[in-house]
Amino acid sequence: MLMSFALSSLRSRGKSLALTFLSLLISVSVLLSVEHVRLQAQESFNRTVSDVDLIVGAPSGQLNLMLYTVFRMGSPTNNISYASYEMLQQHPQVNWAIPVSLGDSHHGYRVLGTNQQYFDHYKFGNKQPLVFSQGEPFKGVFGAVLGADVASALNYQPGDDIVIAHGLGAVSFQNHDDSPFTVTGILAPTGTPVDKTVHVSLQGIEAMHLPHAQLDSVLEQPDNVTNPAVQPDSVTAVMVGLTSKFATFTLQRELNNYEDDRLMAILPGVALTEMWQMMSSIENLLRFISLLIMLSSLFGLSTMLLASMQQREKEIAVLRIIGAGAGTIFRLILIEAMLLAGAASVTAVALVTGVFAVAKEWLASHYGMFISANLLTLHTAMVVGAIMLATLLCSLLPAIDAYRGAINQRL
Amino acid sequence: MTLPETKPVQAISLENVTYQYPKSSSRLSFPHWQVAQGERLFLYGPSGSGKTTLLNLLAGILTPDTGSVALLGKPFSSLSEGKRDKFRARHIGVVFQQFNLVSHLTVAQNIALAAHFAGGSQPGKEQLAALIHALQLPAEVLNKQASQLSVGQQQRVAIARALINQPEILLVDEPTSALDADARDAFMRLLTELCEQHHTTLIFVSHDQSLSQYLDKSVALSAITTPAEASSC
Repeated sequence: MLMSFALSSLRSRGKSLALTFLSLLISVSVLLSVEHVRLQAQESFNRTVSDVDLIVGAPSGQLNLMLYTVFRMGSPTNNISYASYEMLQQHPQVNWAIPVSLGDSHHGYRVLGTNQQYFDHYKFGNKQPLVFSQGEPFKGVFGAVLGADVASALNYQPGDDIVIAHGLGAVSFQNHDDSPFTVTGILAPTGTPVDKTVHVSLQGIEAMHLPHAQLDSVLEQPDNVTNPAVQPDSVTAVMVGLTSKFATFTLQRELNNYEDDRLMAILPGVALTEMWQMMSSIENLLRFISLLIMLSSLFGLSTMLLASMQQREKEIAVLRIIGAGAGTIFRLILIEAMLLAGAASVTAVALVTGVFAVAKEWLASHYGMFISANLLTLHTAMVVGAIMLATLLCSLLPAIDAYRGAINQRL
Repeated sequence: MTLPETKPVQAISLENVTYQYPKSSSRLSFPHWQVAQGERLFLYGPSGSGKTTLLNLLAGILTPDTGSVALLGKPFSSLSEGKRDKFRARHIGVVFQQFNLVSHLTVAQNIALAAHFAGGSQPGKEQLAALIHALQLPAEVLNKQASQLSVGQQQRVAIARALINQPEILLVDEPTSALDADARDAFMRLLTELCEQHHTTLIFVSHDQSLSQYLDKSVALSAITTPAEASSC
């Protein structure tokens, strides 16, 4: 009975209610978005690289090396010699080694030069291997394997010819028109930067940088990967899986002191932790701001309820005279506040879900963040629970006011 | 007090009741006043003479500073606030000058709300329809919002609301001041008829002495009070 009374009473105060509802809706949405992005970004970064024990590249910073090689973000690092890759591959403690050669793009998507090792050993998420949705890995010099997003965005099928440009922008100054690649396979979606990547052979990377005259001879025998003209002499980085995790630090030290090339070996887990430490202050600031917004709109709710007390004196007098106790009036105000906050929370969850469903693609391509649009998590439930609790506290003041008013009410 | 045991219980009994207005030096006192059950009493007095205060004391919204209010033979003013609320819901009906209904609820919901707080069963459709019919209101009024009714209709619905729990005592405070002469006449007839049917004790308060013709008995407020100083309401 109280519930339906509260609903009817809320409905009768349309305008001020709508504004309060909007302010609550916005603040709950901001709070939920910040929390969601925070958790999802961390998860999305953490799931991008799995099972890689060391990333070996030229000395820069461990964060930069990881961002560039794994997330294709940040500034390019120097290359290391191909001989170093071969050394790693033959190292007794190394189980597998994936070469990575970056620096080119295709319609804004990064091109990654690698070899068969990548498809055999690269893992993401919870040690999930890469799976082909269509086709197979490249074999010759000019084969290309596309990430799921690249294929769907550019509408490519296996067998299509594509052109790869030097440089990283969506619009390149220099198109390598003469080195057409053929799509041999398309990977299943992973929710990681792999989806936004065009994979080609290391030889392919070399071939597209060759002068015309030399390129023609390579094009004559596209399946000959041993062609001396296209042998790679350097790679950007190498992802390494070890035979035993215990060897990680020994090998890291060994590589950092390697004499034939200037190498730096980093532990992806450690680099990620360092990154989250850097992010956490920004993160906390964002949370703090969104909590302030939340608080201010709760005060708005409180003000709205307090202000309405004046115009509701008559209504409360009627309730009192038909036998409603002051406690009932108190509960009524709390129920109204909770109904409003509850409705705002539910709408906010729907709204934020909608926004992320739309912005997902953009976030992934611009920030490498793969944010799911699924907000129905335990954490969201906890945030909403906290909001309801805060609402309860903030509406105590008007409720107490109504209670006192009810006690002192005369006919 | 040497009243014989056989005498019926008084509906209302005030003994040595005094009430001090907050933030004012004026004070009301009712040394001894009784109303028999089933009596229909017209209580008149000029504005500010303490009529509304008396009704507040009878409804249990205010409590006396000294003395006691007993209703239906039971102590009332000494009850806890919660118990007074319950007692009021079950045994006392009240009709004000105006604004007797919750404006955003329908007439049926308003009446149902009163039944809810009395803790009784919800009124059935037939019961509501009969009540509305008795008050000479069109049946479709039940599903209208209270704010859509005319003042006269609202006041009649207020009687329905006040009588739904079949209270023993009905307190009415200047209910006709917002009505024109015809509506007032109809209202008064209905009110007294219904009270007679249900054998309800009626305390009707007004400054308009012309209304006394509808009731059994008239009493001037000044006859039952001994205001210490000029009081204000």
